[in-house]
Amino acid sequence: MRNTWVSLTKKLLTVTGILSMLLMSSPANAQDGEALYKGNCTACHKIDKKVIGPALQGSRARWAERTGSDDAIIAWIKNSQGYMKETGDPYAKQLYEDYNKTVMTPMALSSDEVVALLDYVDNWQPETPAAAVAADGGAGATSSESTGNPTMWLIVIIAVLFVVFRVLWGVNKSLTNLNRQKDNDEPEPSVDMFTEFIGFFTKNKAVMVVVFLLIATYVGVLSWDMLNGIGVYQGYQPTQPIWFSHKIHAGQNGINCVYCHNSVEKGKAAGIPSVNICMNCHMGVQEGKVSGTKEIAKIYDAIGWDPDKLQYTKGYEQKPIEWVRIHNLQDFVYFNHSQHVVVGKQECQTCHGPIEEMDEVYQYSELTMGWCINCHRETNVSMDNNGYYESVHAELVEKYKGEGLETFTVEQIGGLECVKCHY
Amino acid sequence: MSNNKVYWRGTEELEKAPAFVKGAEKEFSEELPIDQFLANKDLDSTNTSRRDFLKFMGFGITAATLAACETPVVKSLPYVVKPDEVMPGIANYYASTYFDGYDFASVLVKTREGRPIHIEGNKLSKTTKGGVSARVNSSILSLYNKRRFDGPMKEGQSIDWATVDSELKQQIENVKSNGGNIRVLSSTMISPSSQSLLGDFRTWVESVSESVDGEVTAQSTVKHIMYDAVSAAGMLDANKRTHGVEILPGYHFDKAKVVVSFGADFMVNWINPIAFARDFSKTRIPGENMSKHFQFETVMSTTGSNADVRGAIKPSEMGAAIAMLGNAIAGMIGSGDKISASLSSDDNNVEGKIKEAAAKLVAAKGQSIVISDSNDPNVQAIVNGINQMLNNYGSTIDFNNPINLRKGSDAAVVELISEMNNGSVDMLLVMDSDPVYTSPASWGFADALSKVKTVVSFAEKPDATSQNAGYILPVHHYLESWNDANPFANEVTFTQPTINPINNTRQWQDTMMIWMGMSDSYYDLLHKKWNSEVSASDDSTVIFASKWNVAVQDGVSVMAMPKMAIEPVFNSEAVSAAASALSSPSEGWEVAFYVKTGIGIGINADNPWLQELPDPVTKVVWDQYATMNPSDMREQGLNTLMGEQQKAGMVRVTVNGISMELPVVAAPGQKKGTVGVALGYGKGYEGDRLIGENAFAMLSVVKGFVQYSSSASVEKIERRYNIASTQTQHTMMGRKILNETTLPDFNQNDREHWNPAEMISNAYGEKVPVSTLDLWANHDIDLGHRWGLSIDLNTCIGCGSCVTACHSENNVPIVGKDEVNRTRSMSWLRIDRYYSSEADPDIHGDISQEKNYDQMEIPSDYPEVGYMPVMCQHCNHAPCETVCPVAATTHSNEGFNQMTYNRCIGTRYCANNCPYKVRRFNWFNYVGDSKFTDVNPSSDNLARMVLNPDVVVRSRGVMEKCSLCVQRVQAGKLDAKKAGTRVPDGSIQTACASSCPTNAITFGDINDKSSKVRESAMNDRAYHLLEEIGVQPNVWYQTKVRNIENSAEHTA
Repeated sequence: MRNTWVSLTKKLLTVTGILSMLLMSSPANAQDGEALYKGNCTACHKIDKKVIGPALQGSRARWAERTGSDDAIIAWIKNSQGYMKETGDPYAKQLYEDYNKTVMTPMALSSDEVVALLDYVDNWQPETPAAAVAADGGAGATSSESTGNPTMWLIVIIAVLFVVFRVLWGVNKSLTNLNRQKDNDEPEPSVDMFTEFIGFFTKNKAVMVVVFLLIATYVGVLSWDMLNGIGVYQGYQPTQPIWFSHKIHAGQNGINCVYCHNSVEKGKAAGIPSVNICMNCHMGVQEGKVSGTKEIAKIYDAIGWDPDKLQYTKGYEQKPIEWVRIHNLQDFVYFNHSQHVVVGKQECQTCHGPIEEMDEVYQYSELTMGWCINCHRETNVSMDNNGYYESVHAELVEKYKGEGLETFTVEQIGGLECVKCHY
Repeated sequence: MSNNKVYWRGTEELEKAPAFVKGAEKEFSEELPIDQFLANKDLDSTNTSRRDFLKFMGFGITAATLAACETPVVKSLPYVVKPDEVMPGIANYYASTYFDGYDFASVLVKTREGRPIHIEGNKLSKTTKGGVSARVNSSILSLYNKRRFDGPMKEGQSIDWATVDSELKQQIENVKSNGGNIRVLSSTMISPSSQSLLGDFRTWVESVSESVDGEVTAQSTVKHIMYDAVSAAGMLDANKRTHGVEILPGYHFDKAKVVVSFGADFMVNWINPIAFARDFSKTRIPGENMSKHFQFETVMSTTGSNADVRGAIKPSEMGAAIAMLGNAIAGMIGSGDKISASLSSDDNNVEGKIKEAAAKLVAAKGQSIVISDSNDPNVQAIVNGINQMLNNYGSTIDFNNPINLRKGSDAAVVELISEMNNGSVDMLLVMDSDPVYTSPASWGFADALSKVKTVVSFAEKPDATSQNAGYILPVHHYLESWNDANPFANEVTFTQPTINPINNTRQWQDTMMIWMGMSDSYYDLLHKKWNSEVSASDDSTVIFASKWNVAVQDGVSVMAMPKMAIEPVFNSEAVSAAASALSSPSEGWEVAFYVKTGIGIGINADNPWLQELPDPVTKVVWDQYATMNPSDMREQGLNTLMGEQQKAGMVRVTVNGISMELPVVAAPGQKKGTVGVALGYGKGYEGDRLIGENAFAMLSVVKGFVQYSSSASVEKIERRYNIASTQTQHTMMGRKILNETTLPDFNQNDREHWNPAEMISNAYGEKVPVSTLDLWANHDIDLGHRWGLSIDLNTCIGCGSCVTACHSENNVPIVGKDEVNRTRSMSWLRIDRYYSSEADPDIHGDISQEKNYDQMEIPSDYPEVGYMPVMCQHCNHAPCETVCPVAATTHSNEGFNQMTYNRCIGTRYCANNCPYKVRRFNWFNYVGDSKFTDVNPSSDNLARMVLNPDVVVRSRGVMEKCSLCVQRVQAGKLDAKKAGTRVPDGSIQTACASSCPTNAITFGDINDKSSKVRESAMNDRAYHLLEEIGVQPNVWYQTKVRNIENSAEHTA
């Protein structure tokens, strides 16, 4: 996710570029109005609902009704504090008081742009319920599995083959008996398929040995795999108390991982964000695209935020959120995130997988010792520009002079030693 | 020099006790009862067949496999609102202050996710200078003591705070209106704010209240009495007589070239021992300026065992011995009057040693210190006279920088008791002290207490006084409290809470403020006071941090120097008056009461870390005992041996009509005809067993001053008692172990003479240094780091601070007396104590021959002592590594001998092959096994909070040992890597190194050319323990250098 900074910067540059083009091409149209609304207003406003600031739809009409033109609301939007000071408009003052004296950030917009914005707001229609259902369905479809189970198919095929075999065997028997009847021979004694099957193997010892070996090998491999899988929870995807989507937060919104997991560069734990970090954004963002207010209400419930009054409930007994831990290392292993992220310069995705594509997080890696060690064998230590490694690097170059190495793996600096992780 | 001394681990070794000799060759002293097991007839009749066994096994494995397949659900609960300063996984350190009325230390408290887990010294303090003691760093565990009170009590019943406040407030109002008396009894109180609060309380109670008819009622009074369990009242009184000031002066041991101590255990017990030990260790660097230390005492104390010259005297001879020293000095400098004095018996050349001490003192005039722990003002006055003759005042002893740690007055308590007895005390408030326990029985404090109308005990946990108190208002542990302290001169130190109160408790200061109807809390009071008054370290460029914040962050600050009432002027007449009043030595058995290094005066006697800390000298754990000289014991027919099969004999010691029956432990060095009994027992528990009895009750009082010795009757009783000690396990007999030399030898001869390299014959029969021959391929030890320890045997005083620090840092379990007795102590770090005596090579020949031990008996009555901390030596060629069948112990390229618990299968081959016997095996699951529920602190849920989350708690069947605090090394390296710098020398410290009050342990990177540890490991005094076996340890020892003239001097 460290790349997000780069991509974020790129995005910013693009946005600025578009904006500057917009500024040059005037007057602005409703298309721009949407962009302007999304770029500037959504942190505090909704069109049809009061959030931090008032609902936008209808405000233009109210202002126009009062003052006779759009000029006042344009000035108000551009610089609310300045407008209040200049005009002393009591309505504006009342608004300011009503919304907890939250100062609206002055907007560097031209009057045309504000008009475009207001046009967009006026013409905006809420999404039809059908569309919402479609959106929901789409989200649901991605998470369901469609590939099917290979073992099941195998069993079905085996069953079909067995039936075919039984039928053919029966046909074969009947034909043989028919033949014998034709030749007036005694019909073959009636044996069932199983007895004949056994008889075949008792007669052909070599086949029996081969089959036995095959079965033994298969069972052996199966149990070996099973035993190796004890304690390995790759793919573990528990249901969390809140349907929190990394795909939305880290993927679509491009929030840097470190914003929430803020001890990842400092300590051994990456840290599950405390609710007050969620509230930094969710004070404003009260509704999600996928689950609406249902999941966000859970964090309000934990911290005691009243979304109607837009304030924290006094004396509220806060409840911690009981997340289910996905990545469980054994107690006898010491793992430090900051070592890997800061010193080793590893991406989060190296171990946690495509987290920005996961709606619900699952354990991507095995988290076995073999997996750790393998990475330590293959990964080069980034020793450049780190004073700690200066002398060590020189000594290592000297030691591996024969092989002419310049970069060294974690293994070569002792990264496979027991006490690096076990103490 | 170094070759002709014989060391023995204890009397068992000296006397070749059969059990010892048999056990000496084995690691585990017990025979495994295999024959007994196989001979059991019942075995044949058991119903479990081999088939059944296999069935059960098969089922068990299947069941376990199936059970293991289910993913355990682990919950993670983040904060709702995370405090800024808490970062999961990162420790916070808070500066605070420990003071329990006896021990003082300015400390740093390490907390993890809001739990205090470890205590280290605060280097900013001028009083304790960054040192801690075992008692101080163990205090972290007493925070999680489940015996602490949970909520206030009245007559044994729980009551809530509001009710108790209103009841007591009403009672105080009654006292006020009736003109009654309130008395406040505490140990020495060094908190300026608490004292001013008590002043306010007094004003409030004494304020004249007018009754309804306008007449003034009788005046009520409040008095605050300070009383110390181990009193320095005699010293205070002597200072008043000789200098006119009733204060204790500051002592500058770092400026002293000669120190003569009469009984004062100044390295671990006397007044401010942490600083004294630290200061004194600075003068113990061998060379021209090395100090010389004489100790004259009865019981072999920790300080005495470190003395260059030690003389054993009876307690009653102390006055005479000091007078003799005074006479000798007076004779040399030609002034002063002679005092008639003589010793009643002198079997170890005390007279000669006193003469030598006098000569040394006179030679180092103005750079010496003479001290005594006597509580007899006459004796102390003579000591003052000697220091005056030596011009020590103003240089090494400084009345301008007084120590405030002992202010208690014995006379004031006596007065209080008489007031209580005649019924004039209406209310007694007791805090920070347990007078029913610590006062001599002859005072009858408990009886007097019953005549007081209301007794309020501000105790933390049940004690003798709270049992007799009507009201118990439990107080916070110091790690939950706010406070300030003025321990020394103009230094103020602060106590700040490091955790929310665990129990329903309240500081007595807050309680008192509620009674007085003040709306502020005690914290507000402190904040107001110090935000304005702390000024000296005030930095005007700091605008955001208030003075208060800076002061609390540092834990120490400077206040205006208190004005002294009178300029101290020496009054020589007081000395001569004291000389004439000196009591003469007595005959017959005497008992000396002493304070132990671990238990102290018993405040934390219920702390398992301290109970299992071996006494530095006797190495006994979990028990109280009487110490006697082995010669005396043999005369009485008592068993001088120790060990699991050796039950100790017992004696009945009777003083002032009070008897105690105690097991006897042989203590070479103890004056013959005396018995030593430790104070501070009868308070701690091992499970349900009360450990020892209260010896404070036996103290006698002479002329109003409590005396810590008296004549006694001692009789043998026909009972035996099993005591556990860590002394005789893991023997290393007859080899160069603790290398030592004398100062003249060190100064005049080169290294070959006193620290010769071990030689070995090579294939051609030539003698070559051990280090040049090697069977093994070398590790790549020069690449990167190579961590190592260097331990200075000269400054190690054996106090055990490192042992408890190691327990705290590394979650080392406590195993209890029974297990210690089975040689299963778990300490990663032990301190070996060696008694030594001079062996004449002509008589003894080869020291490994058995005959020699017999001939050493005579000097063993008064031997020399050496201490040697031994932990895993982290051998480069470690014998343990080669025998592990599963490679659970391997070598790291940073010099560690790694122990991987999760790989260990418990064969114990490594322990068998370890030449240093430092590996410890988990015989039990000490956390879960019911046998250890009451012993090992981490088996209860509350005390488990003390565990260090960075270190694994080992389970049964796993070997463990010192890891060189690898968790700290890894953390330190990570910090350096993140900062992009080399690891600064000294930034990583092991728990033992950072807790050492004398800085005897140095840790660092041997490959860092500028590191202290490299300098220390490469110097001439450095050697390896058991160098001849060629295992190339990463732990070095520095040869001990005794400041003695010749070998005959110290063996009487």
